[in-house]
Amino acid sequence: MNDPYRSFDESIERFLEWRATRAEPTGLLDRIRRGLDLEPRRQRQPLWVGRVVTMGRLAWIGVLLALLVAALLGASITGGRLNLPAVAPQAPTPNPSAAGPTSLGYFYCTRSRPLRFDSSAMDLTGAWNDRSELFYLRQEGDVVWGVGLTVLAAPATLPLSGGRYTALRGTLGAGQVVHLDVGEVGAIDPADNSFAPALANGSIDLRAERGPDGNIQLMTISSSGILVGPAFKDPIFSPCTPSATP
Amino acid sequence: MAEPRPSVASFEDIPATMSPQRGASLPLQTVILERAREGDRDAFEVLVTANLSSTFRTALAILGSEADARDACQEAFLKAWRELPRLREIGRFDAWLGRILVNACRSALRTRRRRQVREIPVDDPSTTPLVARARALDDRLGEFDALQQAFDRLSAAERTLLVLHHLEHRPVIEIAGVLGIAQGTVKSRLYAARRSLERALEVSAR
Repeated sequence: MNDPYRSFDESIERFLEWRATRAEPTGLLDRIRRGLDLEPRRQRQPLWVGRVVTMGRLAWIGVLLALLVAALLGASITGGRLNLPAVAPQAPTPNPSAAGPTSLGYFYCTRSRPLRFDSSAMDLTGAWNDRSELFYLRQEGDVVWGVGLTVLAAPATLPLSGGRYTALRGTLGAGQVVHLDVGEVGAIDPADNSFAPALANGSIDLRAERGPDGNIQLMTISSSGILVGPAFKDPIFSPCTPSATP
Repeated sequence: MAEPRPSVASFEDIPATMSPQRGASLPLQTVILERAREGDRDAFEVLVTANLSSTFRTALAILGSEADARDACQEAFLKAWRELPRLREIGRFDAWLGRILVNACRSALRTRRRRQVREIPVDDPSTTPLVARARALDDRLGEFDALQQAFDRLSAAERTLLVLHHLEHRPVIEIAGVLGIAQGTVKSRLYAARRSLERALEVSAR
């Protein structure tokens, strides 16, 4: 039998789905970036400062009570006078174990690094991004080598595992084609068991070419072997400016 | 000629536990949030990029106007950037951002209503009852048009509740977190919002 309430709920869901997908947020990210440019620059604060400032009222009361109890326990009463220990309350310090995976470091590329295409002076040295991984390439003559690291560069790649890295080595040949052998070296994060067997083991051919904006890009023209994982998602590699957590 | 696509395996080949779903890898999101909270603009842009589509979708569903949804999203993210250092529990970022967005949408609706009152001339022929009724008749030809009219009659709070529940499929406990009200209140207000929509539909159908 038809449940009228369920049917009404389904109608609402269909309607809201339609209403919410009539437009795309095209250009909105740039608009937000421009808005952020106008915001006053925030100074980075040590972690403990942020924690102290953002403590709630209850937390403050807790701290005051703890200090009071500590003072009473540590105090000695002599001749009817209360002598408090001469220890000034200290600011809380960050707990290294609470920092979690920050110690491993994460890399991400959110800003492009426009590099004009010049076939007569090809230098691939620098950071490159294929939307899912950050590659540091180094070119000496026609020899190219590098390393690929996890990168956060696009919403589709969030979140990723931490700390996988691949090694790349190859040559820049005729027609600005660079042939790279790719191998997964391992995982920096020992808890990253999902990638326990080496997943990347193959080769990839990239052609350096002029992109639509006149800047250089590396276009994947062929690949072989196993190239699985967040890397090699997009056929186009673009120069980028990396950021990294400490 | 189209470039040949490489025959590489795709992101979908990653084990399900590593799939790029929002919130699937909390430690990593925590790292980025910590960085953004400390003032790292790049890290904040990663957060914006990751949440932009869903945020815009929610705003568009509540407001119904693309321009207003864009304004609300921008306002919400700029406010999030300013307020992030004061976010106490990083694990509640989604609910926190949701609340900022909902407030931005409410503010946009209030502004729009004031604007409408100020800007529409009294003798505008398009607002006469006869024309409005004829237009309403045309709109009712489609199911969505009728719902659209009815939905736009709802208050900001009612719209928000229906969007969070029926579009985002958030559980009651999460809605309570976003709106800062008790779970029981969410349930009763959700029921009332559905009733309001039904009544608004009846009014539109007359």
